[in-house]
Amino acid sequence: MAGLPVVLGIDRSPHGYMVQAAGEALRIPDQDIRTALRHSPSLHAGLLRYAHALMVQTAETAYANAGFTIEARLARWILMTDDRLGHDELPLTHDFLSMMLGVRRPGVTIAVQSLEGNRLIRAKRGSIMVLDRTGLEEVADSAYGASEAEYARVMGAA
Amino acid sequence: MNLRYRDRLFMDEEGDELADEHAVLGHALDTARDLIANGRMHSIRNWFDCSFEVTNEAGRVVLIFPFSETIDQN
Repeated sequence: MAGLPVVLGIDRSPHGYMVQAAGEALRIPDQDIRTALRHSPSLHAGLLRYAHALMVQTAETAYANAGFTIEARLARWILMTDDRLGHDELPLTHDFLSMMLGVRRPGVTIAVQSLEGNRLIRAKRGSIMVLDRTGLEEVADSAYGASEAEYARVMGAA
Repeated sequence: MNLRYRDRLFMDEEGDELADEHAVLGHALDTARDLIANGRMHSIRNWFDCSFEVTNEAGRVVLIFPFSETIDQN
């Protein structure tokens, strides 16, 4: 078992987890985190706040997918990736974006070239560099921002 | 699977590996139908103005598939 289901007291999940980019992480055996959660109300409360933030993000993704253009959804995803990695070059292939945005790959290719044409990003094969975050936020419109603000509010992050 | 929209050609740099002409046509049809149904974009006002220009590994065009053909094919 991995992830929030452990915190929520669930023993099995139909979903798996996929790490999308290289980085460093800490891990702890599930039995140890369960024990720690029983002994530390503050740890438990913090992870429940994270669960809330993730539920808000999931709902915002449904909102974005239902009501926004592919360009807006792509801008949102690039901003979210940039928030998490902060690298110069974000490792994003069109094939991967196609899966995450639920759009056939030609739609991603056109949207990437549209954002690049407006000088918001620079795209290379397999990676995207952000040039203009404010411009991307304008394209993403209200598809981006609500879940980030809620994450910052409940997790105390900037 | 490069995509032409009016006078613009969007190059597909990643590509797909498809076994034969039948598979290429099926993939073009599925993809075009999905984009017409679900691909709301600022950049493309009318998907029916689009066509796929499918090339082989050597870069030679092996199929031109206008999106209007999605209407005729069942």
